[in-house]
Amino acid sequence: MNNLAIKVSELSKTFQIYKKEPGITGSLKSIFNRKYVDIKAVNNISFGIEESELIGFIGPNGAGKTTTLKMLSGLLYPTSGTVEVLGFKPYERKAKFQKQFSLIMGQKNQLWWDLSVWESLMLNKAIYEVNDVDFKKRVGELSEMLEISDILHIQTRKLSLGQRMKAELLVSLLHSPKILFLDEPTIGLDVVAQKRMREFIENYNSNYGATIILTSHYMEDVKQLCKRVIIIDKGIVIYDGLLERIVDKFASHKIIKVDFDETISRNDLQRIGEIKELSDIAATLYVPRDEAVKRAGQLLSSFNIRDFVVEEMPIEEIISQIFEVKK
Amino acid sequence: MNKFKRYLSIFYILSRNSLSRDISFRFSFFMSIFGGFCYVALNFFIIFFLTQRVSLFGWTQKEMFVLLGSFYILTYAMFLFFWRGFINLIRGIRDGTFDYYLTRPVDSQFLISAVGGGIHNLLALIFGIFVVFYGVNLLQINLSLFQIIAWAFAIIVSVVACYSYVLLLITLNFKYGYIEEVLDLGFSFQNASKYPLDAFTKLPIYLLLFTLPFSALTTIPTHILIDTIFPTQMFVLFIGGSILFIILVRLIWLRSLKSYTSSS
Repeated sequence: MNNLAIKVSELSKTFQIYKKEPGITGSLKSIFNRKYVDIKAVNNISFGIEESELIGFIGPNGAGKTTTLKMLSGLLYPTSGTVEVLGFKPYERKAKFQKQFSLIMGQKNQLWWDLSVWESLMLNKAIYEVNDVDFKKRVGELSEMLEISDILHIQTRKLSLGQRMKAELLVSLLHSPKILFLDEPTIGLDVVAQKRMREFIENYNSNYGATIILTSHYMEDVKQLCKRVIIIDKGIVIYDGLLERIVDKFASHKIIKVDFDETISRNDLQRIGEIKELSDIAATLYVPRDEAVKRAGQLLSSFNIRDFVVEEMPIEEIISQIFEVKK
Repeated sequence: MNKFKRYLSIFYILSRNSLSRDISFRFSFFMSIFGGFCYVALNFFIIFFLTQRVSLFGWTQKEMFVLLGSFYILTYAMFLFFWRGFINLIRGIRDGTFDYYLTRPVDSQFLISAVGGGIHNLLALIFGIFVVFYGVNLLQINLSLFQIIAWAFAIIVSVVACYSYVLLLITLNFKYGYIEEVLDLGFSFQNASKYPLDAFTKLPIYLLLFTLPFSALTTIPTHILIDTIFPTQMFVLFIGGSILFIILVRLIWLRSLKSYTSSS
C-alpha cells in the first residue's frame, strides 16, 4: 500500500436537532419548550485513502457523505474517533494544512457574485501566497483545460451554471492543492457540461497526482471516474472496495434480453425468470445470478430464439437495491 | 512575505473588490450616499435646535457638536469597515457559505471583517471629523498634539470595541441558527453613543448595562478634547476596559467556531 493521505478511524458525528411539532400550536409550544433529538450523521466509520487516489463517496440523501467531507476538511469537529489528513488533524484548522486542500461544493458559491472571476482569482492568489510566475502558469494551464480563458473577465452572476462551476474549480485549484474534496460538482449541469467536468477531473487527477474524493448523485460520474468507491448509508460504511466488485458482492440477479422468432405468452416465460419487460417477440428477464446458466439453457431449449444476451445488472440498479433493502 | 504584509495585501484586495462592487451599482451607490446624508443632517439639526437656548444634560451646544461628531465617526466607521462583513457572516452561517471562510489559511475573523461595508459611508465619516473640529473651534480650544493623538487612539479603540460587541452578538448565530436581528439590536444600543454619559444617570441599573458602555465610547474621547485638564484616570480605565473586552470577544469567537455545524 502507498502512503495514506487520509486516515479515518471509528469516526462519528452526532448533531442535536430541534424537532418541531407541526402547525402554529407547535411553533408556539416550541418558544417555551423545545424537544431535541440526537442524529448520528456519521456512525463509527473507518477507511484509508492513498495519495493520488480518486475515490467515489456514494449514498442517498442524508447518508452522511457531506458530513464526512466536512470533518475531513476541518469544518466540523468529530464527536468521536480520529481523522488525519496529510498528517494533520483537520479540526485544528492549521494554515499549513489548509493550504494543501480545496473543498468545492456544487451547491455553494465562493466567487464574488458581482465581480469577475479574475477578482476572485486575485484574492485567492493573496490568500494562498501564489507567486506571480506560478499564478500566470497555473491560470493559463487550468483555464485552457477548463476551456474558460474567454470568460475570466465576465461578472460571475452573468455566467451559466456550467461556466460558474468551471470557474469555481479554477479558483479552488489555483494553489495546487494535494487533496480535493468535491461535493456534487456536477449537480444541475446539463449532460454535455457534466461530461466536460468529468473529463477535467480525470485529467487533473492523472496530470497533477492529486488525491480526490468525489461525492455525486450521478452514478455516471462515479462509473467514469472512480475505481474504488465507499458506499455510505445512515452514517455507516456498507461497502468499501472496487467499483467492479459491487456486482459480485451485491447483484442478486443477471439480466437476460431475448428476441423470439414467434409470439410468446407471459405464462410460458414466467418459469424461466422474473419478467421485467415483455412485447410480442421480445422480453427482458431477471434470473437468480447463480442459476443464470441453467435458466439460459432452459430458455434456448424451450423457444425459437432469434437473438439472446446475458448481462450484469447496471450498477445504479444494484446500489439503489442496496439502499432499498436497508430501508 | 511576512504575515503582516500578506494580511495587508488581502485587506487591500477585499477593499478594492468591495469598492468595485459598490460602484458597479450606480443607483444603489447614490441612494446610499443620500440615505447617509439624510441621517447625518437630521441628527445634526435635532441637536442644533434642541441646544440652541438650553444645555442638554449639562452639555452646551458646542460640546454636543463634538460629541455628535464622535458619534458620526463611530457609526460610519462601523458601516464603512465592518457592516457588510457582518451581514455576510450571518447569511454565511445560515446558508453554509461561511464554510469557505473557515477553510482558508487566513484568520476567519479577519477575513469576514475585512470585507468592508460600503465606501459611501466615508463621506459621513469625514463629515463627522469636520463636526468634531467645528465644535472644538466654536469652543475656542487650542488642542495639543498629545490631545489629538489621544483622541484619535480613543476613537479607534471605541470603533474596535463597538465592532467586538456586534461580533459577540453575531456569535449567537453559531449556537441558535439564523438571528439576523442581532444587527438591529447592535445598532439600537449603538445609538446610545449619541448622548453623553450624564444622560443615563437616572436610568435603572439594568438599562445602564446596555447604554453606558456605548455612551462611554463617544463621551470619553470627547472629554479628551474638551476638558481643560486631561482625564487621565478615565482614559486609562476606558482603554484598559475596552482592550479586555476586545480580547474576551476574540476568545469567545474562537470557541464559538467549534460549535459551527455548517448548513447542508
